Amino acid sequence: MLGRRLLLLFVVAFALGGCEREQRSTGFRVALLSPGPISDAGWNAAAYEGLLAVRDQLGVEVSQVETRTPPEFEEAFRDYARRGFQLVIGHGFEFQDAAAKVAPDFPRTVFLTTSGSTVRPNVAPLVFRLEDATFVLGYLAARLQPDGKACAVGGMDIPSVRGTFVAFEAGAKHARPDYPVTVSYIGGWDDLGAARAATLALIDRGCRYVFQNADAAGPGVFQAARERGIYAFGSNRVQHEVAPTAVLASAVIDIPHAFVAVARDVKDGRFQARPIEETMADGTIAVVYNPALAAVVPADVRHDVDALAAAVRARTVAVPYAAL
Amino acid sequence: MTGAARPPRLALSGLDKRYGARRALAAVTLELAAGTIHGVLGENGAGKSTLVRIVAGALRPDTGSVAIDGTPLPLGAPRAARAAGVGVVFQHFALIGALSVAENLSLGRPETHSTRAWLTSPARLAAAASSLAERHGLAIGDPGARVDTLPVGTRARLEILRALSGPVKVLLLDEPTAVLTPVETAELFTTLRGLRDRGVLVVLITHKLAEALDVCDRVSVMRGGALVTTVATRDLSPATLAHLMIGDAGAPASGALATIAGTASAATAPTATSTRAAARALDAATPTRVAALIVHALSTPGAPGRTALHDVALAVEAGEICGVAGVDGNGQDELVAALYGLIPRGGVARVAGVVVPAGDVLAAQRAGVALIPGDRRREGLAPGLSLWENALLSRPLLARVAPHGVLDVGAARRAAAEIATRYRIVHARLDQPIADLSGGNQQRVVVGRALAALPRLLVAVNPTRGLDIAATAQVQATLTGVAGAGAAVLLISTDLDELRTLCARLFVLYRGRLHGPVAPDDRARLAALMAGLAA
Amino acid sequence: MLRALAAVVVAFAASALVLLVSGARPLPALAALVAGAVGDRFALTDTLLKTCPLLLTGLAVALAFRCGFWNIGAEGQLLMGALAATAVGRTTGAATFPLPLLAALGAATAAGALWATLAALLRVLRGVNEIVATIMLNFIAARLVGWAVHGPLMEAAGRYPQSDPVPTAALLPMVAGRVHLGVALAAALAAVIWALLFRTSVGFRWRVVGDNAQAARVAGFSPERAVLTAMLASGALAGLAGGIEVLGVTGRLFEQFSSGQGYTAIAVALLARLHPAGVTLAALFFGALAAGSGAMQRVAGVSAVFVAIVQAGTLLALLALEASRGRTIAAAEHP
Repeated sequence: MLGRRLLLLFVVAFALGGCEREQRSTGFRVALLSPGPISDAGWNAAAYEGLLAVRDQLGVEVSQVETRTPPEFEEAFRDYARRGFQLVIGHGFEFQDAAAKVAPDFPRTVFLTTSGSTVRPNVAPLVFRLEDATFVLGYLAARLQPDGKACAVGGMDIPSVRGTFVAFEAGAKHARPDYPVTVSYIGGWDDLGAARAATLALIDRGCRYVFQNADAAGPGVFQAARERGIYAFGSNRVQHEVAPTAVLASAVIDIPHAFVAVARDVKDGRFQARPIEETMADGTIAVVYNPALAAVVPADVRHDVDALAAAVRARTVAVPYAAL
Repeated sequence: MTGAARPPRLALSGLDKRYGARRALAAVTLELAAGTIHGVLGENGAGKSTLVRIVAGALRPDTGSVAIDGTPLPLGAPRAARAAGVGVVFQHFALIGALSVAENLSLGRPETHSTRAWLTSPARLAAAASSLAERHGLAIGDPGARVDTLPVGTRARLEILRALSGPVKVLLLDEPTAVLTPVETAELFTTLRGLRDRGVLVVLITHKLAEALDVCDRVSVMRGGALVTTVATRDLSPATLAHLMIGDAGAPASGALATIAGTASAATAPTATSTRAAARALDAATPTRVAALIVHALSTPGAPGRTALHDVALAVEAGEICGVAGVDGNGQDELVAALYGLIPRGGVARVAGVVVPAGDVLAAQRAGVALIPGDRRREGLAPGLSLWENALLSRPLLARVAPHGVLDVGAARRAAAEIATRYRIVHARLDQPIADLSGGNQQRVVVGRALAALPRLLVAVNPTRGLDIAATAQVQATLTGVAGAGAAVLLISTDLDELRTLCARLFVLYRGRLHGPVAPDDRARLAALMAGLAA
Repeated sequence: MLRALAAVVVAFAASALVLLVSGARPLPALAALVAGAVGDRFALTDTLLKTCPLLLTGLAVALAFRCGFWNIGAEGQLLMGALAATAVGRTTGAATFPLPLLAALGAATAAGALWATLAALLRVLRGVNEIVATIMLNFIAARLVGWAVHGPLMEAAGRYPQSDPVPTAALLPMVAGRVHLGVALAAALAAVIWALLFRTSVGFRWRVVGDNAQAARVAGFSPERAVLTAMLASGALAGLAGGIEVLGVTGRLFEQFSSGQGYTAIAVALLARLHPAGVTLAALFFGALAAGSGAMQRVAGVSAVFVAIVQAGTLLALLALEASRGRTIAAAEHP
């Protein structure tokens, strides 16, 4: 009978489980919780690159896990912490609550969330002000086609994503105060089909430049842009490698740089729990053009855009930041 | 074949087939010539379908042989039969509703098995279908139409075309007109005559006398697996044919039955003896004659595949076994379903004086009606459940062992064990799946369950169909016993021997109307009513 | 017994192969899987927490299937239960324990039952295929949850598509560590469902209707009523699963609340041959697999994609061995 078979399976499993000895390493260890697949060529891929940079530059042990739901966040935080990981990074705004919930039980582990505002003795947010770059991209879109429309497609409507869209729109309106920008969310991070469909709908309503911030679903946006012959902007990572003919430029975070800096502080015992902000002025955030499509941007526009980026870096232009 | 005498198109010799103790075919020998339409008549269970299946290669006989144009046919080999020129139209159409006409016609055609089959296209299939239809003069309409959108008559033609798609020498049709309208039937017969004129031997299995006389050149009559006679139709009157079909009351089979039933009941004495004489004696012994069932102006709506009942009136007395005869499909299912509350009906039905509302099984059960359904697999058993659970598969019985909705398993199993003992159900365990039991034992469960409810009116539909002699005898003895104990029994059967053995009065259903009563001995009138020749 | 060993060996061998392809070392990875499922207290807790919703939804599916109703909608019923538990838990949370908890659990049960009954009514009254109906209702439930956490139930801070936490008075008490009372409740319900199916006339009717509806009708049992009551119970179980998940594990509702437990439940029920005892074991097995596969990622560095393949492969190996057995039986019954 099946029942007996399963019972046997459990017996075998328990026996094996008994044999298993937990290897408690004494070295410094860093873990990453990604909310999506590290193959997304964007938000999660960038974080994984950051994790590998920590491994290579600091010579420490690293581990990564894909987690989708708050219970999974908590389970993974808890498991890494109890196994003695000194730094556990929850990659996104959505990891704050789980980090705050688990942190008191593991005072010797630092929980870092990439975005958010939650601070505890061993919990801190690392906020990437991608808004700096998306502001510049919005301006670029409005300058390229002053009588056109721009749009943005997001995964879920969360502050860290919404903030990039608000800044994108502000940038466009910086060029032309009544420049229309439409925003659409697909309600998840994986559904390429939904992203493509949402983008096509926006294009049908006149959108000519589309910015995506939908992680693994992002390629769906690029696909729609390619199909209709419009240009798209990438986010978080250099994304013209994903869609060389569609991605004009990307708002990029140098996550490896930021991760290595934080990890070094934690390793050296210098870490202090406080919100850490990375901006264009720090060089962590940047706009990267697709060299293959350089000709699309006229020289004068390019000049103005570069000037605006410089102003953002110098903080002479106010970029709206999301309240996290 | 260059012999002096041309061999017959189809020659059957000494075909014998047994299922356990039951002899489905008994030494059937028959020679049929090409270019004729030959009818095979008989009641249900006479062995007609077994014969068809053997010739088609779907079934292997125990002994005997089949030859076509003098060449022996390998037995139990459908493809060989097909290759030898046997085409079959089965009773239940084997068309696939979701496929087109052309696709259905391509199924099972020899080319389909060749290596080119995968290169086919809708256009090619359609062309092949159209040419086939043209060759046989059968209209099929649009070859691209989905089969399930077509009227039944067209489907019947398709079924025939499919049988004709090879080089057909012998075309067997098993009850092809069961689902056809009179107009469609006439068209079909025209087709069959055309085939005959082109030298095909057409074998028509039927139990409709009028049809047999209309279209067949000669008919063979089967009874109890044996061939009774073969005669030319021009020598026959409908009444003679009906006589041949029904046979004599004192036929050997029923005589044996009576004997076994007698011993069986003597051995365990669950019930009284079973012969008609005994039943009548019981009747005579019952002093008060109460009408257990009175039906007045009962009617049911017609629907596709259903026969409408018209103005049925019937009274069955307590202690009586009242029989309803008739050829299958003349409204038996509808009469049962209407009485038992399974389908809506008009008219009035009273059981022991209580009016039974229409369409309410529970009310019928409460009024004291119990049913032995005709198709136990479909209506009588839950095959995935155990023996004891099936023995309680009735609302009144379940209520007895489940007070307040909680099943008392001990009591339930005791009740089931009692039924199993009383009706000598051969089983290993009460927990055994009912599907593991033989057909006879399954039927004992169904019968025992119906009687455990202590009905005032027992409706039994073909209660011995498919059973071996011992089981048949036991079931018949049980029915007699029930009536003897004061219940009314309405026995609806297509087995005239059974009806005549058990019943004092018979009614006949023909096209939804109930005729009678008829005395069981009045064979001429019975035959006429069943053939629709008298009102 | 031999066959049982074979199933385990085949499953693990196939998994090892997949892991080799993924570039991981198979043995440490499988050891991590097993350790993550049953290796220590933490692992066992994870296994139990992941078993709980699978057990309840598995029972829900098994019960409906027993009655011949192909309820693919446990997912939607679970979501509706979670939604109702959150809404009621939030609004009644100020009262004293255990009133808010009971109200929230009751609401979850009722919401699941209502959602399931919609599909049952569609079939009984309108002849709508229940597979289509329940799948569509799943989509609607997922959208409703999405709407709720973006709208009326969205957290006061308005930052993330999730509800505010359900007040403590509405939460399930913990039995041991992170193991909440719902786990015990689910285990007890497995026994209750067994009794309901095999020791009551209601369950008897359900099983008869599922086995042969026409025979049930002839026996005087209304298949329509049986389907309605069975779906009421089935939906209640699935709804309760959602409620318990909110009140015992997550503490709040969020978008994409279910990770597909309602669908896994179908595999659980089928693997268990629709028997409550089997469902308990099968749910434990799937719960252990889910817990272990998380650990396999974290400890052995196997990527999530390959973990999913190992999970599915193990299930397929088990089902294939079950199916081959089923076919042998079928062949013996119908030669």
